[in-house]
Order: sequence, then structure tokens, then C-alpha cells
Amino acid sequence: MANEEIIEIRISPSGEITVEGLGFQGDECDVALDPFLKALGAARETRRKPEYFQGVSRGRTIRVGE
Amino acid sequence: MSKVVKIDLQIRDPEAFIQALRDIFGQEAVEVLQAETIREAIQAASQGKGLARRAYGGAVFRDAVAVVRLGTQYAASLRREDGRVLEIRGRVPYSDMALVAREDGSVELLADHFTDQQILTALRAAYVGRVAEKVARRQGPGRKILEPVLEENGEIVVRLVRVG
Repeated sequence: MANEEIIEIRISPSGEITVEGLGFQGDECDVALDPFLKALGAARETRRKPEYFQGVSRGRTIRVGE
Repeated sequence: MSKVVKIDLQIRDPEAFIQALRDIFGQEAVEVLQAETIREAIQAASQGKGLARRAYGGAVFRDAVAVVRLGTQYAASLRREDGRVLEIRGRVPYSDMALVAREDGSVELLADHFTDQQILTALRAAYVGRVAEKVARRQGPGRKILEPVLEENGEIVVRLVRVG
């Protein structure tokens, strides 16, 4: 069964924005997240999640802003 | 002069931010500098031709792209993680809230020091929601934006799910 694809945007109380892809496979995560990153701010830090290395689903968490 | 605070949010999409201001304060309450486009308004404001912003004590700024006047009433709500709804009501205190253009053409929101943090949180949520909505619309009818959720730690979460 396919995982549900979710894009999660978090805004911290200090205004920091994090964009995270959940349940994506292959390169779909990058493709899905990039337009949101461009619109919300340049990527400052990218962190691959454990799922990324498991070959089943792929997740990426990115903080945006200066 | 009243002390002002920055909203601490990088505003990459001023049009979406103005929409967010209107979501929170209402269409009529948000005064925007007359121009063909928001980009032109920002350019004019960054050259000192913006809307005057009256601050406490009579200090005047002439670099605002958009203002919400002192005293404007607002009512907004945010859904909490546990399903309850946080109702936010009040009025803009002491000085106008202003979307101000810097000389380099970037913008930031300035608000009075005593502005309710909860309304700034609601504004951040509305802005991110508006930006996400624009991006999702450009991508076609594949994604739906869920209502923003305020978590216990003060974070706002905006989720987009695939539909169809």
C-alpha cells in the first residue's frame, strides 16, 4: 500500500520555517518540496531522514530563511 | 516613539502577505500604497514614497507599503492540536502596524511592542497558508491544504495532502 504523501510546513514561535516531506518515494520528495522552498525562502539546511536511506519512502526536512 | 517589533518572518511573497493581513484584519482595514503592482508599491516605498505610518509620540515613517491603522479591531481563530479553538480578539495597539520596505526592496512587518503575540502567530499562519495555496494551485488540483494547527509548543503546522 502506498504511503500517504504529506507536505508539512512548520513555523516556530520565532518565525523559523521548516518544510518536511512525508511518505514520498524516490525523487518525488525533492520535486514536491522545491516549489514550496522557493516560495517560502532559500534552503539553509537540508537533513535527510532515516526513510531516505531505506529505499521505500523518502523524507526530507529543510529549514528555510536566512 | 513607540517601540516596534519585527514579526520575525522572512517575507518572500509580499502579495501573499498582504492577502494574509486582509484575512486577519479584513479587506477594508488594510491600506495599500496605490500602484499597478505590489512590486511597484514596494519600489516606491523603498524610495521613501510610501504610506505615512503614525507611531506613538508623533514619529512618522514614510516607507510603508501597507498599514493597518492603530485601533483596528480583529477577530481570528486558530485550531489547537487537541481540537479546541483559540479565539483571538483585540485591537491594534498604540501605533499602526506597517509592512515596511527597506531600501533594498525587501519588506518586513513592524508592529507595536504591545501587539498580542497570538495575532502575530495567526498572521504567520495565514501568510504561510496563502503561499502554500499559491504553490499548490500552480501545481494543479492534486493537493489540498488542511487548516493550520497550533501545537502545544507554540509551533504552527500547515499540512498539504494529496487528493484524488
